[in-house]
Amino acid sequence: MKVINYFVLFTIVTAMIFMSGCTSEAAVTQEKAPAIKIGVMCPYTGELSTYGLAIKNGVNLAFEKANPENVELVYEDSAGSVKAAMDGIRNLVQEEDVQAIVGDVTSGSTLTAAPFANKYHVSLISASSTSPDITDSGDYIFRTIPSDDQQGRFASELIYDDGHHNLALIFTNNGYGIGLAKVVRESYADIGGRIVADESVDAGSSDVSALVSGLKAVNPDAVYLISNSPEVSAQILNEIAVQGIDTCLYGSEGLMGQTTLDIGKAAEGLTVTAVSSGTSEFAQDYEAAYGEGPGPFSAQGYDAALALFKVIREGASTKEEIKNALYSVEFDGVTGKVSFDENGNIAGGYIASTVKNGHFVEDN
Amino acid sequence: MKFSILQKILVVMLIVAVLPLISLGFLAVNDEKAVGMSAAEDAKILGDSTLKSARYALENLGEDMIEQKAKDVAKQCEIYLQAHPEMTISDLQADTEFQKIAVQKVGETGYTYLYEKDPATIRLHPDSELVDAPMSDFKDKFPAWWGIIRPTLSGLTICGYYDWESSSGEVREKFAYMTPVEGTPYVIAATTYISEFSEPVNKIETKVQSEIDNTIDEIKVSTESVSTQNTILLMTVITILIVMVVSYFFASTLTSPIKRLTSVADRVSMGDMEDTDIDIESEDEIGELAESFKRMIVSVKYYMSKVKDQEDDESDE
Repeated sequence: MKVINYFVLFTIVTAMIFMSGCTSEAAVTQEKAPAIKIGVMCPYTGELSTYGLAIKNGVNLAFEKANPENVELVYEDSAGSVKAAMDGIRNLVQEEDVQAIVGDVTSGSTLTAAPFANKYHVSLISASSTSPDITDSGDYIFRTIPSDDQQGRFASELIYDDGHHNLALIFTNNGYGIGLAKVVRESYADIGGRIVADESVDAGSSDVSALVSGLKAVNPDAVYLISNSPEVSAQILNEIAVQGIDTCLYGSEGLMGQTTLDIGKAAEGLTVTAVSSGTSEFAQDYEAAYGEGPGPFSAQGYDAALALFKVIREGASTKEEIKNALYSVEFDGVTGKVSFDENGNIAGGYIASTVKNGHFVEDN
Repeated sequence: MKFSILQKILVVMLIVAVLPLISLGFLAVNDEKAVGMSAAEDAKILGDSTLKSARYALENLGEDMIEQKAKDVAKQCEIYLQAHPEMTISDLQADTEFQKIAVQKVGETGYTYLYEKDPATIRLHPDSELVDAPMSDFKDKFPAWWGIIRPTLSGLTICGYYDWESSSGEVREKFAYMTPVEGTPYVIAATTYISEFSEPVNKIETKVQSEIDNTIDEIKVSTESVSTQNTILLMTVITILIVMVVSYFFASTLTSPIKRLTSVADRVSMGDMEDTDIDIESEDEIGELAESFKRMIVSVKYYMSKVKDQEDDESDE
């Protein structure tokens, strides 16, 4: 019997030694889950670095504000060329293994990166690429800046919802004017509005009085002036004021700026549709952090990063989960309400500002 | 069941000596295999990453070359078209000098070609069948190609990869760089099969892969070989023999004095007082037992002689 006792004792001791060895090994391998990497790909050098750095600052500010757990930012300089964007995204997805990317700046770079983003299932959110081609460049491509063709739809809805159902369209006879006018014409009709006047103006034309007096006959509820020429804008607005046409004035993004305010009284009450540059609170935070006001697309960069941090905080961690969550994300960003449609385009993105006492004031 | 002391000692010693030996041997064989395999794995990873870097570097070089070619050709076309603003597209197509500028060789298999943005139409191409072909004709067959061509129609510079079916029907990956000819409705595309640049790496890859496979096989063979297992078996057998011999001698030192005491005690119990010498000199508990035994025998002898003397006295009276 004693022999059996010895044997049992020996077996237990041996087993304990082995088990302690095994458990210590298991304890070593049980580490913290690796951080979710987010790439920030923009040109930080070269001639487009102003945009790249402004977006990077916006992303960094969002990172500080949201303070997302277990998220790491990886910066990639795409140096403003499409080839650099291609090399950049390959490095981010293949070497850095990022789960999503904020970038790139130009539409060309974003569209060059898009096939790789789609191939490797990495969501790519551009804060500044406005080409309509990006709309159907794949399921993984998003943007927090509206597409060029979204302004037309935004303006149509804004004017119609303001109660103006008879619209006069005046546009500069160039690519910008023709393109935008086409979208407004279609979208305004789609929602039930009626275009009562549809006139083009050549830049440098000396007399617009006939054109403006023609408006009197059709008595439009509102005029939408599509212009990227300050001279044309001033001529039309002044002529409308001179002839005393009783209508509501709307203008395209080309009218956003000091040149419009310089027109003076004739521009009072003009509502301009433009991409948001962020809330005043955002501007204050940005200035506190970087010692200067927000740069171009800083606010869009901020919202792009915020969208990613939000879906990650709500549990998305894989590339696929992040993409799916982005399609249903919805929050109030610094550029307005942020949500993406089925093409990854930001649903809003445009805001309306009205000239009041010589200043642009954001409409609510 | 009855066990002798020898058997008990033998079993305990065998357990103590042989069990750890077998476990260690088993672990050693496994470890050797694991170490070997992980070395092979490391070599494979290292080889793969080296090849990947090499392929990447070569393709990158090729991409840079194609990019530069596209930019150069677009610039050359721009200069030529500025000098000849009156020329229509059919004039340009007939102009051999312009053809030489717009259609150039890139590497071994590559070339540049010129297309018009609106309508999207190939205008100058080394393959004469494609000249004046509407580009949208290919969009369903080569969606990846169309994906990078389409944005260029609105004037963007784009580069990227797509699969293309060669005239021989083989589908291979092509890289293309498209950039507009400034101030004109034309775009220059430079394109080539990227494998042209990475081909040397593919050859090395096959070789490295077979080397690594060989190494892995060798490791498998050596760790699973009979010799290692035989060594362990032999060591176990030797250990068992040593344990048996040692156990035997050790047990003997315990059992032989006990046996001797047993036989003396048996004789004393029969009253045989002859040959009761106990030559046990050990200093342990058995030695003490032997001493007590000796004293007991002396006592027994004394009392026996006393009894005998009394008997003699009684018979004398």
